Amino acid sequence: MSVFWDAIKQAVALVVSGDSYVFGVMWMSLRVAGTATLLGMVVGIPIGSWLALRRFWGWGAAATVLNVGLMLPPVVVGLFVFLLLSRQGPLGSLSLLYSPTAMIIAEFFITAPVIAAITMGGVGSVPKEVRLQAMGLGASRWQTTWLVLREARVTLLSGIVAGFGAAISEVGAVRMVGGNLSVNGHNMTGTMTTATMALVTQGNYAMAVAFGLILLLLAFVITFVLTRTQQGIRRRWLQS
Amino acid sequence: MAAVVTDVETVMAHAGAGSSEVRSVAIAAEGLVKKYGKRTVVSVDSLQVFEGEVLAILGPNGAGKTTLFRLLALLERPDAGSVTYFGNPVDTHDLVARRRAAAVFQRPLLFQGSVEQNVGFGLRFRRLSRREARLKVHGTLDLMGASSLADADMRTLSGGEMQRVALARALVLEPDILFLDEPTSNLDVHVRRRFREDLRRVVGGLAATVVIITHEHNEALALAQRVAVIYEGSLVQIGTPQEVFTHPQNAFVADFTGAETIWHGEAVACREGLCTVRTRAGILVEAVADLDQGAPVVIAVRPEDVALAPADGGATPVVTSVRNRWCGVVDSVAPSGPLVRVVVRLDCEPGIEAVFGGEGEVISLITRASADELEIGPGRRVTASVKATALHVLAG
Repeated sequence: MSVFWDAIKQAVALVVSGDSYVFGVMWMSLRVAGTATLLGMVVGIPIGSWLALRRFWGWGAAATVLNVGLMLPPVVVGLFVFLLLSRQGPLGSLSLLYSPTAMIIAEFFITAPVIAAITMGGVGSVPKEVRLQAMGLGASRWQTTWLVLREARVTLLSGIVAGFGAAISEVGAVRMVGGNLSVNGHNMTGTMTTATMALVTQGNYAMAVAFGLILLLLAFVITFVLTRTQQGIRRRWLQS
Repeated sequence: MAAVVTDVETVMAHAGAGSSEVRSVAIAAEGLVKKYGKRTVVSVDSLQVFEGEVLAILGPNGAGKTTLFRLLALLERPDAGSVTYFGNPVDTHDLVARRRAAAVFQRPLLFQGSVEQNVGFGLRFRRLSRREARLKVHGTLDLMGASSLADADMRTLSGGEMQRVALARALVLEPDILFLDEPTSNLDVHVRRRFREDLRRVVGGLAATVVIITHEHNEALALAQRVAVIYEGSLVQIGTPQEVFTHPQNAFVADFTGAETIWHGEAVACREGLCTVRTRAGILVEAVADLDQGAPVVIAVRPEDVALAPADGGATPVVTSVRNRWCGVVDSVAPSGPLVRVVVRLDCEPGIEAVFGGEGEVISLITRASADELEIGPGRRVTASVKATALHVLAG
């Protein structure tokens, strides 16, 4: 038990003292997960909306592919991106392996299906009549789509947070294509998850717990903000 | 099919129609067909809505009213046929045409946000500035007597308020054509009455062409200058409310426009424009009609046209001009607003036969005071009477 308490005490000290390695890793995590989520939104929201609003030949197959994407094992994603970027791979000449860009690419494949699938659900649950009503008020096709997305915004927000959560807590793919590298104590491609794993194998529990705490705190803050935003949207409905 | 003239009013209505001026057409539909799978939901050969008129499309649930509405409002594409607005062919992709119209649906379908935002959406779609939109929104809300709601969130509104906002949202666009799809059917009875009154006031003051979908003949009667009756996807009759209500073209229209008593029969004798019809149940009916002997006919009677008198009351029968007097026994009595709906089984007519489906019954609508005075109740013997001019004789 004392090991646990010591680790927590040291972890708090590390965070409070502003340890440069700890903050470097934290920043890398946020940067990689944040960028991957942004890219996931750019691709996932249009795809999810499109699948929700249109029916076409092969729709079932497309939806299945999306759902498979949702359950894609991160290690498989990592392997795929690794082979893609490795020196012998099709994109090997770009020398992206073991860089933040490689991690962003891997995490993009993890967040995009999550965001697309939740968008599809949210947009699909907006009644078709809402679309007709928008058209009946003279909305163009884009304006109609915008209005439907606006109606589904609470779900969309959940999708974005779920995508970010999947990205920031991911280990396997990021470890495989990022490598958790640091040079002279200066972090290069370590994220909080990969660093934590490495620290535990090294027996450096204090720093591992520090990252664990930060991840937990982050999860709490994001959940809190999300819940408040959703409640805010609902509360505004209820105010007279 | 024999030409059927039913009563004096219809003749007058026809005379009126003959002298009407030529009006320009706002909406024209030709050969409109819409299918869902193999089922044809709408099949309308030709429909014209004149500029500035209020046209009600009247029909029961599932008649294809809403689909027709969506086709006319350019919200859905027909499988065949065409729609023109003011002489120009239009379709769902024609944003300019769609922006000449505005639609209000059965459900208010407000978007998330405040009332002001909701009413302003259409204006924002048209790229009006926030300031301009705000000004127009407040003007329209004032007109609707809803300015106090401007800042309220749509989720806090009552059903009546929501529908009022939905109407304001369409009116603020100052459309050339206003489409209303059963705008009152989602409201409580008392809210509906008020909303309908407001609707009448607002619609009456508009220069726009209005198409209103409804399944209630009262609404069509109150609001429309012309009524188009739709049944199983097709138009069965179109005309002024007076024409449609007093001269229904078939049994469906008669039934749907409130003639509760429908009898089938055949003409047995006609003389000088007055025909005697013998119904399936054996009831003899005298009606103003020009029929061939033996022609199958449908007799439709509105309950408000049926008068009741006690059968055993007077010592001497009253002399009257009423041609049809049938004796019977009260089967059931049910309150209907301020009136009482009485079902009379005509069991004492000579030659009466037991026939199912209301053929041996007549339905009367009388005031509560009359019902009390006549001591109307189940089992009471009465005489039901209808003027020959009040009967609708339809081709069977």
